[in-house]
Amino acid sequence: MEFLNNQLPIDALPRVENTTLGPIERSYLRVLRWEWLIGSVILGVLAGVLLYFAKPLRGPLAMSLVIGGWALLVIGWFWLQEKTFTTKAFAIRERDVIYRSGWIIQKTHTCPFNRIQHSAVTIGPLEKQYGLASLVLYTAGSNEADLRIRGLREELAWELKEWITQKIDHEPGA
Amino acid sequence: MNQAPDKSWSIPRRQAKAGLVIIIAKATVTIFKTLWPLLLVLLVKKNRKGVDMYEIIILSLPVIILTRSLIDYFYFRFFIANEELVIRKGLISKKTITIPLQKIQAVHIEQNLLHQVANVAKVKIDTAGSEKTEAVIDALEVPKAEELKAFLMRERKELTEGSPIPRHAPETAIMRLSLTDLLRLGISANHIQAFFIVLAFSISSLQNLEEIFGDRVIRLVKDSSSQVGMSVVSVSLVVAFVLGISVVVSMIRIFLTYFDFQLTETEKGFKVKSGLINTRQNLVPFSKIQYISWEANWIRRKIGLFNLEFHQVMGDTQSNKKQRVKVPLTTSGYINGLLAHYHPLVAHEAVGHFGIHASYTFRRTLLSAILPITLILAILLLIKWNPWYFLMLLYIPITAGQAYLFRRNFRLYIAADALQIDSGIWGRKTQIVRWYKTQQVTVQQSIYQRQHGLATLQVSTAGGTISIPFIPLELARQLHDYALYETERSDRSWM
Repeated sequence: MEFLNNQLPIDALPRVENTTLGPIERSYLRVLRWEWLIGSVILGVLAGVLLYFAKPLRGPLAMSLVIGGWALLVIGWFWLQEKTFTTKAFAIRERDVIYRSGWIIQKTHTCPFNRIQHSAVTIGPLEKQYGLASLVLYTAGSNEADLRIRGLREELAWELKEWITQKIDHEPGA
Repeated sequence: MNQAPDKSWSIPRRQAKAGLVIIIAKATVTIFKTLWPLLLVLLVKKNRKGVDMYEIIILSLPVIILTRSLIDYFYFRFFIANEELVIRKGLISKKTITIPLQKIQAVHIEQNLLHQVANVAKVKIDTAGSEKTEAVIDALEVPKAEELKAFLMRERKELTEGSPIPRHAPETAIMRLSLTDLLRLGISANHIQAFFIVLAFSISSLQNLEEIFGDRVIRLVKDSSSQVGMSVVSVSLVVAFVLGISVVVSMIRIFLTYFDFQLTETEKGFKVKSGLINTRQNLVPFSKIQYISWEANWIRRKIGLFNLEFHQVMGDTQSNKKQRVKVPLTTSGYINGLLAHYHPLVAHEAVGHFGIHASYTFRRTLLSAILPITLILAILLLIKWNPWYFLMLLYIPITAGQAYLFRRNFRLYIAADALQIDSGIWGRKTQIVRWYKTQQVTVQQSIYQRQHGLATLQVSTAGGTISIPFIPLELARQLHDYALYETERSDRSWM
């Protein structure tokens, strides 16, 4: 670990882990639960259709396997979603945005303002019900390099977008 | 600047006369593309007596083609007026394309075999927008094409920057490929890839045969082949045959893409030109290079052949492989010259070098081999018991061996300006990335990694993402912070 200390003031660098990340809106969990409910019902209907039309699945064993599989999937999804929600957090620093998400694989993305191409606020139908919005930051290159912060209060999302747009305009090289 | 030739572009002009050949060829292709179902029907209905409708159509085809080509040729004009490039074409449906000169992103000159015969070139003008209405001049005398390209690029520079740039940038030839180089490249190419192309081709043509001849012929072939039996001789013959075909296919592919390969260095970037039938010319501006990598498979490593790639900004339309600029290197001696405008090798000046954690080998084997193989095996065995299924277990030691080699060969070198990664299982790959080309940094931790203080670091550039797996969390964070520091303090434009 001493390698950079000899060469550069690495200790003086702003450290990401010293930044306190703020959680996203609690009400976004409700959006996620609604999504879960709708998704589970659709999956259940699909399983029902499968059971009704596919003759080899008529036996009690196959039937219980399909229903058990559906239940396992739905419960696993719910559990994972609750777990994942606790890790979602973000912070805005003077020169970049940090966003953490994921539980099985936790990712901390950091995107400097002077690399953002443009930004957007998106509001889905469910999000609208709870007055929430997503902030999307686009960088150059592949699609995976876009940063999407979900579950922000709508006013906050717009404010942040406004603020970031101003930042981008003032940054050189952007 | 000599004004006389520039002025001449403001006069509407036609394409080259010799280019009529090309225009006729193009018209033929378009007409056949639209009419082929009709022609097919005609071929099938051959035995009719007398002159029928179809024959009239086929006889009038050359006339249609010729008329259309002549219209295309005589009603095509292009000129430059009011700092705009204007192209007018068409007789019945007239079309005018207008491109403001400062919107022109790039001018490509292309020559396929026919162009080379007629000694003309095709000029394609790229604009920033992703619209399909790009401007193409099908045939222009080669010197005229070069002149137009130079003129357009110069005008664009003057309009965008307001200051004239030096007219004749010195060009230095860096390398070209000889016939022996092409042979070496062809022999050492990845034949497995070519093998699958051959396989896919023969399967699809077999299906075509089946459709044409019905099952009878296929059954005949299958019967006769089963009579030969699976003797050692016949199997090895088949293998040798497929291998031979694969080598030939690789050879042809290499010749088609890399024939007459030339790499020159201009003031602004590298110019790459190659191709036998379709000549491609690419310009790689130094500033657009996001990162550089080069690699060699096991055989090429032994004979000192490398494939170097300039990773440029990947636009939505440019992500296809055609736009990637690859340079085959016949000796590693060229590497330093090609790196000079980006960043020299990091390994020598590195302030630190790191490997990946020992636990990588087992975790990788567990997640990508042991778990999936056990699952698939269990399901297959439940469905039908077959001892041959256990052969799948061989995949586990193979993956483990590869993971071990990957871990052993992986080396990360850190310097103040850039990082370098050496990696590879059988072959070798080197990537060099300048810190300030970073677009985004990601620290990634699985549950296992969280418990053991490890992390995977991803440095995204506009040309692609570099992944550094299983390094200590503390190191990942330091590199993360440093990449951000270098990116955020830098006023340098990343493209």
